[in-house]
Amino acid sequence: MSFVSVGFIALLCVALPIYYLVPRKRGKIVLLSASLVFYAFDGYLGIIVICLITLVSFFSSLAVERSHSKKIKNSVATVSVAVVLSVPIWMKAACLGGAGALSIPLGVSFYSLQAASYIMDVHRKRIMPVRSIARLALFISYFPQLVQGPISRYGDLSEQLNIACRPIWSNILSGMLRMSWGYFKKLAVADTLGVTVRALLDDSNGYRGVGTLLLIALYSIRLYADFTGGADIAIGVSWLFGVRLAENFDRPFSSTSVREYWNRWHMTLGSWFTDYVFYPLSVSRSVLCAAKKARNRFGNAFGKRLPLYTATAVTWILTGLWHGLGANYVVWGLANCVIMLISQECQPLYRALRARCPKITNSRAWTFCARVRTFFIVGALRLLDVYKSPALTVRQLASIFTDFGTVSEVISLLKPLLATAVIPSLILFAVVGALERDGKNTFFEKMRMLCEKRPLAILSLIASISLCTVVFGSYGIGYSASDFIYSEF
Amino acid sequence: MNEIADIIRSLHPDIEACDECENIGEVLDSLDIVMLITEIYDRLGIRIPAEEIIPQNFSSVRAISDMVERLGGE
Repeated sequence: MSFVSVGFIALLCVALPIYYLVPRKRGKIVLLSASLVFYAFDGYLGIIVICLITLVSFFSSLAVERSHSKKIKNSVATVSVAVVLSVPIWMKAACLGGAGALSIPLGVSFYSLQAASYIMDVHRKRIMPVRSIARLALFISYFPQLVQGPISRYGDLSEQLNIACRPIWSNILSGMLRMSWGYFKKLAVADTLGVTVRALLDDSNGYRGVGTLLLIALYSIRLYADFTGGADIAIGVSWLFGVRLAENFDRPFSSTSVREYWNRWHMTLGSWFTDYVFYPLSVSRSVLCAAKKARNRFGNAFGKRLPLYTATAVTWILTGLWHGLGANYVVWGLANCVIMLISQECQPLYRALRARCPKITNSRAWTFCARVRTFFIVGALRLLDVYKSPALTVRQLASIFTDFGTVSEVISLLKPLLATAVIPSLILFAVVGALERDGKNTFFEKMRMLCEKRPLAILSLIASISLCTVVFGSYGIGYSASDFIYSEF
Repeated sequence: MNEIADIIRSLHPDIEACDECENIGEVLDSLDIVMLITEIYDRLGIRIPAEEIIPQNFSSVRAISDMVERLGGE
């Protein structure tokens, strides 16, 4: 079931009143039932897979807790995590190999990571294993986060899901506001830009370097609107039920380096890989011993970098493979790894530059240039995902330097886009984006506080955003909203 | 504690690594933390396992020193 469907709105309209009408202890049954209905629309295979992953996580976590032998604990945790994570890999490999009518179950890449984190957290004694399989099933299958995250941790989410709160108007209003903003981003920005992006993709021989630059910019904005739109809907729906999901973004386009960008983009995926791959690998006994040997053999400079280099490379290759099993994703991961390590090695240079020229490096112009550079570096790497071919990506990127083209080409490429109502949508998108965070409070946190004092103002804001979506959005009879990009990973 | 502050200063000269400074955790990112752990293992011979890499243990020089002391004593 898609967030952008009548069925989803109908499900919410049924589930929400029931959730608040039943006794508070029964709220989790309503959420679990709604999650299963949501998932059932995607076909029986998805239900089988989610049940299998829940069963493996449930019994293995109990076995980890009850075993007295450290060796058995480690073996059970390792095998069960491998089983849980092999499911999406196997499914993606089968689809890549053209296995008949098999399709990747909705959200499997997301909830398998959640299940794996649950097992590993029990193994690390960060949480106690759950005694009720329904409680674990709800954590893994909780429907708002199923399509494209955020990837929650059991310790953060489970308590909220299991004790229903009373209906609070500020929760419901702020949830509706967040949802309406999510739908605006998806329908009025992402899907409207999607038409031009698809036209550029289908005709990669029809433009030169300037067209590639335009594609980088348009696809980056489209992906951001699409992904954050989905996240806003997920977080907004959860607020309706009084559940607070983790934020997944923190203004990534304000980053002045690729390293900072990855701390702001898809944060829950980043923290998952950091906690369960990057740290365990880099501080493992074998890697640290290898580093010590390397110091003696190849020198101090190489030895002390070995854990960092090894863990960064493995983490980025796996992050690439999480997005898809093609060679383009491996190249994407390796390219990010190389950029991160170059950035790490250049730190002394940056520090020296900041110390020598503080006026320049602290200026707004410098920050702006650094942001634009980061935007285009990350966007250029994203072409590996867009074109699906490393060779074509290299050719198109090379054209920026060898065969740039003319300004008139940009105008002709932009003509179909300018015929749509995307400009006012983009302006609104940019303005709210700039307001998103001021100090520690996000824009929506402020709105949430305002819900208690000025509910009518918030209702008019929801109505205005919905009206903008109706006026500027891509929808209607015969139009099918495109799937959320990240739901395909 | 001085040794930990020295290691942090050598890795990140622009950080104010005093004993009570509470802002260390906000400045160090995952790459810095791995470099720090590698240096601690090399200089002090104490391995910090992944389970110990939580924000509370890296919030200040004192928190890092306490953790290293505890792990060294185990």
